[in-house]
Amino acid sequence: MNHLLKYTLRLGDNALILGQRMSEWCGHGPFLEEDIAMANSALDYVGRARLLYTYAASIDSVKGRDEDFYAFRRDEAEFENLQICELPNGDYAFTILRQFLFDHYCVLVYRALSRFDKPSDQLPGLAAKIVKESSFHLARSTKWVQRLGLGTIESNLRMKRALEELWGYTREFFDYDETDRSMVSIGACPEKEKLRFDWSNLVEKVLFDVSLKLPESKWEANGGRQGVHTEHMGKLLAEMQVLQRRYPSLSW
Amino acid sequence: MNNDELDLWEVFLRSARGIEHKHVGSLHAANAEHAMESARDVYTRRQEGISIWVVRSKEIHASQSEDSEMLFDPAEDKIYRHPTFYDVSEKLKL
Repeated sequence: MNHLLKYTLRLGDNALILGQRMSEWCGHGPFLEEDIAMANSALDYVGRARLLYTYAASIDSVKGRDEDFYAFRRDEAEFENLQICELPNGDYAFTILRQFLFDHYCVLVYRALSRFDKPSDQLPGLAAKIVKESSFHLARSTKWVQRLGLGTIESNLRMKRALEELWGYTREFFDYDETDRSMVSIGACPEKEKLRFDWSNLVEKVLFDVSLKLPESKWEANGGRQGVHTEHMGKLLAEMQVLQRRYPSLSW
Repeated sequence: MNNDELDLWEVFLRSARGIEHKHVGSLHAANAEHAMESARDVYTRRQEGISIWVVRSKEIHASQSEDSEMLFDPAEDKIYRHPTFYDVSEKLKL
């Protein structure tokens, strides 16, 4: 599999798996307006996965694949999303903090991809579109981090707990392999140290301003890019894929 | 979270350039920024608008129904205030 296809599928997998998680909030949000906003963002993520998978199908040397193939007919080890995307939602602090940490990663990664200079290719255009919605997601999740961080003793405590749990998973953002390095070399992906610097700068500032200290734990997640997942991934896929597995090619 | 802790906001949307903002509904939010974000998700996700206004509901002063007689009834018999008594030239008619 060539690096461009692999990289595109990984982005698609991140979007689909997190979108699936976020959509679990539908009907369970803390209040009506937030429920709609979260479901709306979830749809943005799922829509993003569709765009990326459709593009991937167009460059996949195996013909006849489509977005449904990538979403519904691949097994756990074939999904190369980052593990942070598949973690269960937890409480709203955990959900919001994950969105914040991941939205910022998305803005940086897709911005670089949108500047990828490859004439007549639709990928930079897709990325530019995604940067717009990601920027809104980031603005939204940043405000929520501030509200919950500065809210009550309880909300601050829950944010602290969420940060402890999530921090090690963010290390995976910077766990580059040869596919990422190949994308860096053609100018379609931020250099690792640049990504780490830009991401840390904003994230640490926002967290510091709401008195959330970075965890001291040095534990780091890894393996998502190689198809190694947490115990939560299997159940997520089972739920997401059950209809297509039971009734292949079923459509509405 | 309890909705009681959040203010009620009225949302106005402008659907196209040159058209005025219209009231589309209300929502709960902590402050203006939050109201704006929620309005975007609740009221514009199907491309309904290109501009949003949000106003705290309690900042809106409404006429009271018991004042209706005093406020509106006097206009009932002032038909001369309608421009229907003038003959409009054919050339001006659309």
